Amino acid sequence: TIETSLPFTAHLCDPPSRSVESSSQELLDFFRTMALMRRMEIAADSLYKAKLIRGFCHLYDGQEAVAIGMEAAITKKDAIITAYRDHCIFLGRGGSLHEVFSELMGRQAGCSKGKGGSMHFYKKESSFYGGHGIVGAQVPLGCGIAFAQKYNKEEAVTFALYGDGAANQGQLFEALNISALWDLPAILVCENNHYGMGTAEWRAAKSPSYYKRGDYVPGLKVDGMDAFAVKQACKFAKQHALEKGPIILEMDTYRYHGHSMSDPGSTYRTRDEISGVRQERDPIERIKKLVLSHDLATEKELKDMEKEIRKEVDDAIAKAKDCPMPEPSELFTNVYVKGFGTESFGPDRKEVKASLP
Amino acid sequence: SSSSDLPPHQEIGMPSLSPTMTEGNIARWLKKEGDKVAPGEVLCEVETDKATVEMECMEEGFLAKIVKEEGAKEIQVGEVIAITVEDEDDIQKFKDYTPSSDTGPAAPEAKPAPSLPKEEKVEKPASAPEAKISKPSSAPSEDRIFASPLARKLAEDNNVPLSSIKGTGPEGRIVKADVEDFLASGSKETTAKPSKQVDSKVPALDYVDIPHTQIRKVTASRLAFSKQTIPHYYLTVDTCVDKMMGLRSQLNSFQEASGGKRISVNDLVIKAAALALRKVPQCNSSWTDEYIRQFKNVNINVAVQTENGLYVPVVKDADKKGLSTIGEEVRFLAQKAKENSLKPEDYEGGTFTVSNLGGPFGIKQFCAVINPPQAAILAIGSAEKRVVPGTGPDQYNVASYMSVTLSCDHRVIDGAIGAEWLKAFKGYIETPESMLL
Repeated sequence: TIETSLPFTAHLCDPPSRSVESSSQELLDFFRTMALMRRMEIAADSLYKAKLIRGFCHLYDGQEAVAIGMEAAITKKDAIITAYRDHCIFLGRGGSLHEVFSELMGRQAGCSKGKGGSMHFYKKESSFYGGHGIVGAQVPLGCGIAFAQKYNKEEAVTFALYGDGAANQGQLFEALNISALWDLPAILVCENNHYGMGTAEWRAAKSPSYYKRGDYVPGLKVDGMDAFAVKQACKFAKQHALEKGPIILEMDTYRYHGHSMSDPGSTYRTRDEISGVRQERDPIERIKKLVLSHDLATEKELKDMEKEIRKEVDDAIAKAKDCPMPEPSELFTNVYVKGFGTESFGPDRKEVKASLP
Repeated sequence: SSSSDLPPHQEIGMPSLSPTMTEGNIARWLKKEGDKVAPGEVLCEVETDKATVEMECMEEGFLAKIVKEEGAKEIQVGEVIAITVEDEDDIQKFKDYTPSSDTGPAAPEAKPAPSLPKEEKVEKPASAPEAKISKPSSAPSEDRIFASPLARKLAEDNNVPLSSIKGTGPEGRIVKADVEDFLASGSKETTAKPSKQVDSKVPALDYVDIPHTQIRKVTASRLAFSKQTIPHYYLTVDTCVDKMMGLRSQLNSFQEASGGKRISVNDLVIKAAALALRKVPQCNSSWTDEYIRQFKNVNINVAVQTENGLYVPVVKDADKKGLSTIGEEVRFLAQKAKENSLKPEDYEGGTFTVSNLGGPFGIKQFCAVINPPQAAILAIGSAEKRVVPGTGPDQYNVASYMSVTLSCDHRVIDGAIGAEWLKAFKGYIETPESMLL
């Protein structure tokens, strides 16, 4: 049994207990998976700076506890849909490093066949409905998935993740309204990393208490840097959603990287703030301390585990680099209706030409 | 040492910090070799093509080796700039580290750093008169032709190359009407397109558009660069060439007797210029932002106009060569230029240029454009007979004079220095036997 570091703050509901059940295996798993996520994101950073990853790329380092804690509380029948900061959610849903790096570098073996890139990771077999590039648009989609789950009597719920920036959009309230009206098993998870791109939350939101934004919908504020608090909250929210309908979870978290690769991340916040969070609230350090204090592993064993992880990531990158890019004709598959047998061209009529099936 | 016998370490490559960045400079290191580094700490400041950006460390460990020092310039993206290690004890082992050619998994092929060259390359042209160029030209480049999809289709269906159609759409885009006009004019075969009638009342201009050759583009950009960035000034002096002409005919009679090729005025001018550069080495220099590089070699480029364009082959160490050697080399290089077969070593490494429009064309005097990164160019006018006043009244002499004009980069050569050079040059021309000294 582990106590969450901070109490939950509740809106229109009774907060769950601060005591969370866990096992030594779970603690070690948390450590390993979060370290893997962190390593993967750092590697993506390097690949981007070496121009092997092009275009959009948003990294999750710092926010790992949200992905891991949420995953620990639910099953693969429960759906997750998120925005473009999606690499680690995909990994949490059971995706492989090879699929991640292949997708990031635009290779055939990517989870979207190399055609989606950083923002468009999917894993339908474990109910991951994707990274989405349109800010906020995944929330109404998530409520739609919840509607399907209720309609099909699946006894499953949908977690729709969004950031503190998207939290101010109108479509969220519309989706929430219909979800509440129909008691859909939708859980809106606001990953509050305190900056919508480069805008601090207090500059963008009159009320930065995102867990209260549902008005008539209950909410819970969670320490998003504490994997066990996230786990407890998600377990509670799932129960609530199945019985009573939608609920909002606000995860108080932090991203170490800039918003995207073109944001150095140090112009709208101080380096002291970032290093302060790293020292005081880092989600991996928190688990590490728990592992050490319960004598589940030695410092050396954890270090070795990190080395193993590093190798695992390097191997996955090497393998992904060997994987070919998609055929040019792939440009048109899944774009046009099948069965017309016509020819299609790229913007330059001489370059890409494909016969559609 | 190679990376294989070293302990585990990370090679930190020059990061691409902006979408258009291909190379960067190190503005400042905030960490020293041996410092402990933690994720999120700033390692160094990198100057990208757009801004100076702080580069953060991603790993915990120690900075073992700084490969690219503060101020290092034009580091290709991916090239190793530093090494980090996890164990403090390993720092020492990287003392003499040099990056291996394979820069590790994250780096695309890194080009070797441009070493600080001991000799500047000089190519390309400078003088307005007989400028010159060096790179063999390739076919006109195949730039993308902008055309609307409809125009493209129409042209394809009618088997008309888009390159022969002139676009009138937005930003010169080829639109349907252009293709139709082209088809109507029926001039499918011509590549240089005659102008088309715009308005029957205005008499149409008759013209031909000649596409740029590679050499034309290089000439244009080099000369524009020279004239726009180098503060030129010009010094002209008349030199009496009677003695030199006398010497030349004497030498040529020896040459004929021994079966050698004749010495030209130009050969003598090259020799005199080379010796004057020895005497006034300030004129044998290049400007850079940090320093002026003064060359110890005297390598003289000679402008050669050919059908393909302007070339400037170089006579290396002209100050040390005899007139017949200079003459032979110039003839040989000029021939190669006309055959378009100059190799880079035939035109690189020049430190001064001579352009002669006097002998071949009878131009009296002109001002040449400096051939960057050189600091001066000499323009040779024609020799002409003049009547000059003698010592007493009603006395006069007849003598041949040649006007020469030195164009100088004022950043490198002050007026008096340029004048001193011309004085030395004039001395060699007017007293040619002093070239023997």
